Amino acid sequence: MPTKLSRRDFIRLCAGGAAAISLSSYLAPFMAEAVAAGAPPVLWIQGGSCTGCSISILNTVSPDIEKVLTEVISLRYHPNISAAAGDLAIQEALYKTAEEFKGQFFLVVEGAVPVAADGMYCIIGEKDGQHLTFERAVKEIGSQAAAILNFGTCSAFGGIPATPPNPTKCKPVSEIVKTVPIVNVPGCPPHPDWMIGTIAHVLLYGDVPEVDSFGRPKMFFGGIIHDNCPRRQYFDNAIFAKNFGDPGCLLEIGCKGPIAHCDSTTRLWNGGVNWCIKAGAPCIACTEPQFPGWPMYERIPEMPIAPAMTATIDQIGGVLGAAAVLGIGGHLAGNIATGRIGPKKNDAEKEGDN
Amino acid sequence: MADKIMIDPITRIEGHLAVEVEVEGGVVVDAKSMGMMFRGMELIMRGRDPRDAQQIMQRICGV
Repeated sequence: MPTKLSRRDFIRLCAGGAAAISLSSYLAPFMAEAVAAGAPPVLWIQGGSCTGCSISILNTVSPDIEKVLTEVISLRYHPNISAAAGDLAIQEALYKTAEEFKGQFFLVVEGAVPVAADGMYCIIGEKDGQHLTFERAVKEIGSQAAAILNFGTCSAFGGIPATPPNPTKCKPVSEIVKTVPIVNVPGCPPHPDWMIGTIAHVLLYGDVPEVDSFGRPKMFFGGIIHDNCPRRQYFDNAIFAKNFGDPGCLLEIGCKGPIAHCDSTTRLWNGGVNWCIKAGAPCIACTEPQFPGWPMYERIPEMPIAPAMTATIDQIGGVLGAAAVLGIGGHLAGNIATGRIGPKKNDAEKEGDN
Repeated sequence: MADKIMIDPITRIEGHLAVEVEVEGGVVVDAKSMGMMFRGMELIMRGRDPRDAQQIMQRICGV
């Protein structure tokens, strides 16, 4: 798709995360142009999800979401918006578009894919008198798409529904469809800019953005919360909050910032007003593949401190890429040496637990 | 003989809803609505730190 915006400028724009300025206001004119020039349509389906990702994208400001949906993206199906219901939605809007634009359209998937009981834990409609399971829809529609965009941690990694004991055997989309390029845009929910930016990239350039080892676009998920945290000075000075509302680094009350990849520190949420840590909430690392497999308000059990400590890294699991471990290891090793990060304190010393 | 009308999905709502209506002689004689998705949120919470509930259970519905 020819566009006046160069890839280099695009990545710079997305990765810049200019606080309080909407990414979509920059991108919208280019996207509208691409759609007018015949950019492929987007289909959006929901499975084992809470619809929070769709609600998050409503936070797109300037232009507002109405303009984005009607002029900027050629969105052919979305369960919360489509006027068509029943057969009309499934046959005409979903399957016919997929057939018409086979190999060209982009499929947005929100929600994990339950596969227990032949996928009957999530039915997204009726097709030919049969229940259409989400699993089947993802297989049939997804395998025809040019690329699948997983919006939210559920479709990207399994997320909340796939948390042990995973009652409905939820799987990420990447385990269902393996023949199509997949971009993971995790977050619980993802920032609207991450979603709009990813859609913009595929529409403008016809291919998926550069991704990290977990399939996340590097332009949004390249950094670690801890590295740019506004409370970082507290950490460096070994001032730790013991209770919610205390000044200090939130590590002791459960912050997972040191393992969380995203750019919320500079991008901010709700149109640049605030974000989790600025509001005093410890990061829960909702963009990580293992979310929410850890106690949210407990200190991270083991901090990966150095590349040599492989056992620790294994415990943390696939959360960290080797490069990230090296990066974190570098500055944490110093902190451990100076006693800022030590073994977990015993309960008697901890305040606020009673 | 009643006619069965199945509408699945119902769009423009949050979640997965299906409605089945039985019509006899132009009159609705029976109707069912069905939630078509199950995640087992209570089962996921079992054994976890109670404070995690505020993060996990709010994600039952994101609207």
